[in-house]
Amino acid sequence: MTSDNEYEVHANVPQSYSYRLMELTPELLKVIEEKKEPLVLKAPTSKSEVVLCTSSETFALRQRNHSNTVMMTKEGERDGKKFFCSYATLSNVFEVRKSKGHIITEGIPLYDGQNKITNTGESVTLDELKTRSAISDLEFESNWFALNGSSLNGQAIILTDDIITRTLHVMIMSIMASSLDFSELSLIEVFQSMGEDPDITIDIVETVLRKFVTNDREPYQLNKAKVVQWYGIETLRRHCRTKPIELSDFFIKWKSELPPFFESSLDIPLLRGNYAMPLPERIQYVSKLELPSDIQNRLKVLFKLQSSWNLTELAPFIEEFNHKNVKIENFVMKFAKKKKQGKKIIITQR
Amino acid sequence: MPVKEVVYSSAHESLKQPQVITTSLGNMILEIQGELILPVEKPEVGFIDDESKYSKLLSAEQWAVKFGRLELSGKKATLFIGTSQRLLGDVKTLDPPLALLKFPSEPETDEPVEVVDVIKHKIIFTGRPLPIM
Repeated sequence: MTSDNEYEVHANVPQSYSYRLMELTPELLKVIEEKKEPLVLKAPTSKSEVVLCTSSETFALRQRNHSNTVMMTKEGERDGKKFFCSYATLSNVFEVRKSKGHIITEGIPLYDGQNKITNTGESVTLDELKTRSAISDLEFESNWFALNGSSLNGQAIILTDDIITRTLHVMIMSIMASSLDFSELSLIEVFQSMGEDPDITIDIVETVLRKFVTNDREPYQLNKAKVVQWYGIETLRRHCRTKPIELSDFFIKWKSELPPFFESSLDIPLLRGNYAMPLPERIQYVSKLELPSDIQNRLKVLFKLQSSWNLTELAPFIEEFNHKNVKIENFVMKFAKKKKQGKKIIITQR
Repeated sequence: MPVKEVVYSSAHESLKQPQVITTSLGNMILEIQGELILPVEKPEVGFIDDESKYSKLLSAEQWAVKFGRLELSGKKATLFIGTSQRLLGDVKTLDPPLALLKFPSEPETDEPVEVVDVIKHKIIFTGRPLPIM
């Protein structure tokens, strides 16, 4: 029996081990179809995950083994007979999922101005850091500024909160003094308006500016809410670290921390994830970094500070544990009690 | 391998043509549930029962062994292995599609990783082998 749809099946001996299969997300398929941007594989350290980066997105690869015989074959024809010949046998597939990317900041020196560097590790340039971080180029930029990353004499540094506050203060006052438009800022204009302070380099100004704007291209638009939020957290840190203070008192202190004549509304919700209210109308600073790093102990500490929480105020402290992106009110039920009061959801200890 | 460029011209060109079962480069995945034991290399002359099973198909250096026959009829496929077994299978659409990657044989070289092709279909044989009388 021979027909048009009959093939001999062969296999190369030995099979090649150079080939692997990888699942394609719609985004990656589009990149290959359009061929407009580069693809790069990054494996920053032997322990970290391997990622595939487009210019703007990061995908984590995970090897899934299987026990089937999966053969990559090639169609051909010889002596009038059609054949498939297998050239590689593949015992696994790379699964691909969208990842936020990760910048490895361990070991990067902290910079506090006045050439004060807390050197915690070997120095790296920004390019070296970009290379060793499992993240796409575009995501690197925005994440780097969010992490307070900057550079000094070509080396990657992380700015301390203090130097950010100092720079932000001078920057806002200079923008106002030079009558620059808060919604149309350019880095060079902002830098020039700030006068000559040897401590504040253009790289530091860029980091601070980019941290507090809404967009990632010039002209930048200042995000006033972010500025007010930063000062609010600073106020909490300075005045409410050890004991709660009255809200009315807190608002006065918050307002006075802001640069003079800087107008924007002060809202407590801006500070969610940074405070507790142990008593009604009293606010106390809570540093997420100082809380336990597992959810059960973290909640224990939080309930000790404040026996019942409004879910919207508690959520920022526990979101990072919700890996499966369950609706937060369902997620919290695994660890605490929930009751509804009108539209509010109140969370208490079990 | 801290950073490796990935080139994909070949896959890009392949995607321009419509795919039926094979890609426009002639690639196809054949999947068998279970293990298929193939010789590791061509046995030396004298240790071989059937010399005619071996030939050079895809390149002038590489020996290949003939192990079966495939019949395609629409979405149905039958694979005859050797002279005694028969497997029934189907043509399946892959979701998500798969990229065929080729890694350089020496990992420490500057050679890029290549996306050779994008595969959207496979022929999979899920059943137990059926004896041929």
